[in-house]
Amino acid sequence: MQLNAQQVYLLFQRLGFGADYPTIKSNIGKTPEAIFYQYDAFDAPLQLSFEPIALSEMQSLSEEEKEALKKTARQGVIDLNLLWLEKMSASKAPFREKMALFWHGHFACEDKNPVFVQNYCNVLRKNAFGNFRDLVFYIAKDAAMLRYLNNQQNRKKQPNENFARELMELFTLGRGNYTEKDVQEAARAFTGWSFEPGTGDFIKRENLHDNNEKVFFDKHGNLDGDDIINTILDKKECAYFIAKKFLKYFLSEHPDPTLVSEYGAELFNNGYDMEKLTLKLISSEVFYREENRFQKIKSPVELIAQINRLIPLTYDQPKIQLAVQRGLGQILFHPPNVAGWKGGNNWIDSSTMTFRFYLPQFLWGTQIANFSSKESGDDNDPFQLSDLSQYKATPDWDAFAKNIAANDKIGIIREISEWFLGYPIDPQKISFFITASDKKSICQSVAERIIQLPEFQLS
Amino acid sequence: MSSRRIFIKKSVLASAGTWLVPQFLGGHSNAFNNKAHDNKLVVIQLSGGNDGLNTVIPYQNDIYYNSRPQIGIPKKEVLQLTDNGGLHPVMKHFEALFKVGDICIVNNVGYPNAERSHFRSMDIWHTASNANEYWQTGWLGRWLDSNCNSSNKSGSLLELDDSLSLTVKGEHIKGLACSNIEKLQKMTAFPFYKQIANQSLQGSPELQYMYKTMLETYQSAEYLQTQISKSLSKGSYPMNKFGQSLKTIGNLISSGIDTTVFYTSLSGFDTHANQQMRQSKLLETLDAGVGALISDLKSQNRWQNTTILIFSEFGRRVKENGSKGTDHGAANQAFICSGKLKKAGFYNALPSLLELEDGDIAQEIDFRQIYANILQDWLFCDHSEILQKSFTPTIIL
Repeated sequence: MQLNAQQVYLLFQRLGFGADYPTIKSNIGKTPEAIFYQYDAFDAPLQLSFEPIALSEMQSLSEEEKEALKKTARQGVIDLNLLWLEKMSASKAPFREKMALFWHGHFACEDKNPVFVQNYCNVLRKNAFGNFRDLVFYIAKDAAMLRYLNNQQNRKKQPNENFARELMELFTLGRGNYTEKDVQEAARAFTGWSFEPGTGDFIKRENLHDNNEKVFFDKHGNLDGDDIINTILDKKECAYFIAKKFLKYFLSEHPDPTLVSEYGAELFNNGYDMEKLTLKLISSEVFYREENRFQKIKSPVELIAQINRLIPLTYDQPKIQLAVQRGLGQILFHPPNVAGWKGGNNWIDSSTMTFRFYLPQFLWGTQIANFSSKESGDDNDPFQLSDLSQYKATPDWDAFAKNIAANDKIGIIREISEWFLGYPIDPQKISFFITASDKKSICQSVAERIIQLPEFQLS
Repeated sequence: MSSRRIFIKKSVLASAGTWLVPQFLGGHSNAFNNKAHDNKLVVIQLSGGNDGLNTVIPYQNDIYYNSRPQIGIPKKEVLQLTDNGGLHPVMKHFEALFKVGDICIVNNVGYPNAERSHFRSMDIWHTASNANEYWQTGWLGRWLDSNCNSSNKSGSLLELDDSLSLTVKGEHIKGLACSNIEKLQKMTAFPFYKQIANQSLQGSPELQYMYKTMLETYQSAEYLQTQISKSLSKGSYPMNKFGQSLKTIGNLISSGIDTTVFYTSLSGFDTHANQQMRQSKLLETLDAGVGALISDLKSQNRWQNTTILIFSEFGRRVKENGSKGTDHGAANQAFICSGKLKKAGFYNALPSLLELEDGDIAQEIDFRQIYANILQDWLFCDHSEILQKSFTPTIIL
C-alpha cells in the first residue's frame, strides 16, 4: 500500500501532530510501515537537572529551605510539561510522543515530585509501542502512580483499594468485568507495594504485605500483585478494552463494534504487542476511509503541538503554552482525575471554542483575545498562572511563505488549506477576510484564518 | 441554501428582543410552556478550603481556643448569633441575614472518607460522586441534561468565569462561561466569527457540534447584552471582581432573564500561613458582595425567588499549624441564603471538637443531602436521577 498525499496527511495527523510541508511531500508514495519506522526512533528521555532528595535530608531542612525546595519542585514539573510539549512539537518521533500522550490519558497520573513525573513520563514514552503487559507492570511499580492511587497506604492491617480498583476499572478490564470481591482481594495482594521516597525506586515492604490466601477470579493462594496483573492480562476482556480505547483515540469516537472485536482479538493473539496493533491499523484501508475522517476533535495539547509544527514560532516565554493548556482544559501532568480527559465533544464548550477561535491572536496577535485562567485556590498548584497575556510568540512568516508555491490569493488558500486540513477548502469561505496584497502577508492571513476554523480542530 | 440554514441565519440576524434564546441560557423549546417556576439559584464556591472554624466560631468552646492560641478569634470580637455560635467580625451582612431569618447555617457538611487534596475534593463536590468514584459530569450539568430542565420554563446556567467548571458540564448540555458580557459580545460579534458561526451545518457530528457551539455562544452573548441593558437594578456593589460578578448576576436576575442557575467563585482560602489578615479580607469580600446582591434582589422583588448556596471544598484542621495558619481538614459548614427558607438559623449543632476524625471535624451531613434539597424543593426535579443515588434531603428549602 503506497500512500497518496491525502493519506500521508491523515497518517501524520492521526498518529502524530501533523507535519510541516516538506515532510508531507517527501513521504508521498511510501508505505505506512516504512513511514512508521522512519519516524519511530526513541528520542532521548526527558532530562532535567533535578537531583533526587532523600526524605531523611528533607526533615533536616529549615522551613525556608523546605519552601525553596517545594518551589524548585513546582518549577520542575512545569519545565517537564513544556519539555514534553516541545518534543511533541518538534521531535523526529512524533508518533511515539502521540502514543505516549494516549497512555498519559489512559494511565492518568500527577505528582509534585519532578523526579517521579520524569520517570513516569519516560516509561510511557519508552514503552509507547512496546508490550502492554510490560507497561502495566512498569506503571504498577511506578512511584508517581503508587502515590497518586494511595498504595503506600495499602497495608496488611488496613488495605486501601484505590489502586486495585482503578487497575481493573480504568487500566485493564473496564467496569462490569470484575466484582467488588475481586477488588478487595487484589488490594490485599498489592499491600506493601511502595517506593523509595528519594529516588522513587519500587520496593515491596514485606512487613506490610498480606501473605494470607487470596481468591482472585479462578486463582487462589498467597497471591502477589504480579499474579493479579498476569491474571487480568490473561483475560480477553482486557485486550478488547484496550483495543477499543486505541481505536477511539486513533480512528473515530465511535468505532464499529466488529472492528473492536477484530482488533481486540489481534491484540490478545499477538500477546499485547502495541506496535503490531498500530501497524495493522495504519496499513488498513479503514484508517483512510472517508467515513472515518474528521471525527476526532484535537485535544488542546495536540492542537498546540500541531500549530508549533505548522508555523515557525519562537517563544520568549514558553509558559504561554501553559495558559493555553489551562484555558482549553488539558494540562500535561495535571489530568482532572485518574479517569483522564474525557475527550470528544467534551473539549468543546462556549468558552473553549471561543478560545480556540482566537488562538492565533492569543499566541502572537495584538487583538482582543484575552483569557484569564480559572483560579484553583490551591496555593501549591504549579499550574496556577498569573495573567500571561502580555507574552507573545513570534512567527517567522518569511520562512513560512517560502513553502508555498502559489502566488495568488486563491492559489495560496487552496495550498495552505490542503496542507493544514488535508483538502482544499472553498476559497470563498475566508477570502473576504484576506485583505493583504503581498505574498507573505497573504500567507500569514490565510494560515491564521484556517487555524480559526472549526475544521482545523478536527483530525 | 437549505431551509434550516435560512432559519438559523434569520434567528441570528433578527433584531434585539426577538432572540431565540440559546440552549446554554435556557431558551429553546421552553418558550411556549407554562411557567413552572421562576426560582433562581446562585452558587458561590469558596476555592482553597475556607477555614470554617474561624468563620462560624464556637466562641464558648475551650478546645477551640486551646487549639488556636495564635489565630483563635477572641470572644469579644465575635458577632454572637446564639449563646455558643457567632460569626467572624467582618461578616456584618451575614449577621443581619441571621437576624431576619434569611440564612441557614449547616454545620459539619462533607462526605464519607474525606479527601484532603483540593482538586480531588472539589471534583467530588462538583460531580457529587463518592470519594472512590471518578465521574466526568457535574451535578448541575446533569440537571441541564435532565428532562426536568427541558420541560420547565426554568432555563439553564451561566458561570461567571472565562472557563467552565466541571460542575456545570453535562453529558449533552453545558452551561455558558462568561466573565465579562461586553467582552464576550465583542469577541463573538467580530465579522469573521459571525461569518463562520453562520456557516456549515454539514459534515461530521463533531464538526456540526462546533459550529453549533459557536452560533449559540454568539446568540448567548447578544442575549445577555440585551438583558443587561434592560435591567432596572440600581444596587451598588463592591468594585472588586467578585462584587462585579455578583452585580452581573443581580442585574440579570432583575432583567427577568430565563437563566435559572448562576455559578461564581471566590478564591484564595488556602491559608497555610498568616491566615488572619488574608481570611479576614476574603470574608469581607464575600460578606459585602452577598450583602449587596441580596439588598439589590430585595429592592427588585426577586429575593423570594432566589436561593444562594455557599460552600468550600473542605474545612481546615482544628489545630493551627506552626505558621499562624491551618492545614487541610474535612467537614465544614455550608450556607444557604434565601427569602423563602423553611428552616433558618442553625440547621444543626456546632461541630464537636471532642470527637474528631484524624484531627478534623467529622462529617454529619452529606453535601448531597443539600443538593437533593435544592434539586427537589427549589428546582422541582427528581434528585435521585440527577445525583444518581437517593439521599435524604435536608429540610432547609
